[in-house]
Amino acid sequence: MQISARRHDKTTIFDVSGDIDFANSPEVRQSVLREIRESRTSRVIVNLRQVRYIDSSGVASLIEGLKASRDLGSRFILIGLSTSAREVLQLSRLTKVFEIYDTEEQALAT
Amino acid sequence: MEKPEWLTQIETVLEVLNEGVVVADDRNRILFANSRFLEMTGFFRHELIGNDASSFYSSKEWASLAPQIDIVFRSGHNRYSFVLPQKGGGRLPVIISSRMIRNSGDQFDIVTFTDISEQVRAEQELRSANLELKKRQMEIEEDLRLAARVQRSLAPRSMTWDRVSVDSFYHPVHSIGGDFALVNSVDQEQLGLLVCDVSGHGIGSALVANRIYSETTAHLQSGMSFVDMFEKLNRFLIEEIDSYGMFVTVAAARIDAHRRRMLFAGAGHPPAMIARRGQSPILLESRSMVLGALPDAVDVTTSLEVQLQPDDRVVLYTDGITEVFNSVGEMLGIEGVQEIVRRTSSLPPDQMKQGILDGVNAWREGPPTDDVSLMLVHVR
Repeated sequence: MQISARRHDKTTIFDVSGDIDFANSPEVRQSVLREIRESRTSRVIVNLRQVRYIDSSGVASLIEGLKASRDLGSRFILIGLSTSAREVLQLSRLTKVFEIYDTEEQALAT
Repeated sequence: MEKPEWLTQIETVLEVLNEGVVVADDRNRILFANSRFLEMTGFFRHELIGNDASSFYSSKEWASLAPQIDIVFRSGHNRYSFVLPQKGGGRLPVIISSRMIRNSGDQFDIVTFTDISEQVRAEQELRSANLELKKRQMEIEEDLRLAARVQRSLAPRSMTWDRVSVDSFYHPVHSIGGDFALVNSVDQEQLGLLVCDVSGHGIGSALVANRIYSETTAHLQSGMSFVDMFEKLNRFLIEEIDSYGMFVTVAAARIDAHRRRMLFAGAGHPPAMIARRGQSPILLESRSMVLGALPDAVDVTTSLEVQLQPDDRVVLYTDGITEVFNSVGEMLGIEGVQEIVRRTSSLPPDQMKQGILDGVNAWREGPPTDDVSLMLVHVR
């Protein structure tokens, strides 16, 4: 799993690749939370286009990001969900609490 | 033997070396020892010069050392670890480096001694720490074995009543895990069922699973509504556990076997399935989200009532069944499990359970990476 951040105006975009699972979800959580709390950007987008699979601990990391964003009044957006990642979020009934878009352009346009 | 001329010439150089140096003749008589050597051993120079090196060692030590000295005179050099006798009777661990030189037909052994007591002490400390670690590891493994036995004791056994039977399977990916299932029978007609998956694996998840097991057993027995039960669990996890990455998914059901009525509710859990012979299974989706993540997780319409038919099989399971990947990285998913359940739905219940597990194993590449729970309820 790899995660890198880039900034676009007042938005931070995380590009994640590989599986987000029990072994590496703490790294995702740490990166995302640090950015949300320290940079205080108004919008965080997590690009999951290169992520094949997210397990329950990966979902937990995304929930942590969502909660931290809510606390600071910023938006937390997921883009590019694979079929299996979308299924995991749908089964958890979490698709209704995350902002989800197919592409970065759609997310930036909102 | 008198001190040879060449030795007199290099004494000044040998004297300033940081390592102990001794020069001996081919009968092991000491001809020279530098100041560092005196410092290492505690002997005065006059106590060493002219004496046989063997006189400073015990006979047992010399029996080990003599063959090493022979190697020097045979092959010209040698390097090995041994001990250096000290005046008080102590033994200093050293690396001994010997080189034989010939001069005017005589043979001499120039020996350097490098103090390795610090390394030896560090190695001993490391060995001792390793032993302590091994001991601790054995204690932890013993604790885990006990914890695993406790957890296995919570797994429901296969049960058969007049109108209903339950077959179940539980396999933690580590010795203990976060999945559990429970069957609570008020009588032979009223059955409470629950399958739960605490996120993560290992000790933390297992402890939370055990705590929730107790909570939900009491709630199921009391006849509490699923909405209230989920609300209580959600609050408990947020307020009492409040741990990063710890949330649970639940599928719960109450079956009235006489009337063949089932009340079902799910929270962020893979859909339960009602299997009928040869038909694609009916999915019972969760209406609430995972518990323990957000305060507004529970949907007030979370419960749904289902009229069961004779020979229906209700299949409850955790994501260790669905989130399984084949050799080309495709996830089995709900559709895949649905197909396996359809294919096996004509088998007797115990064979159907095994058929589902076999179908999942056939899809999976490699060993399981998540806890697996499966419960199959057959309503006659």
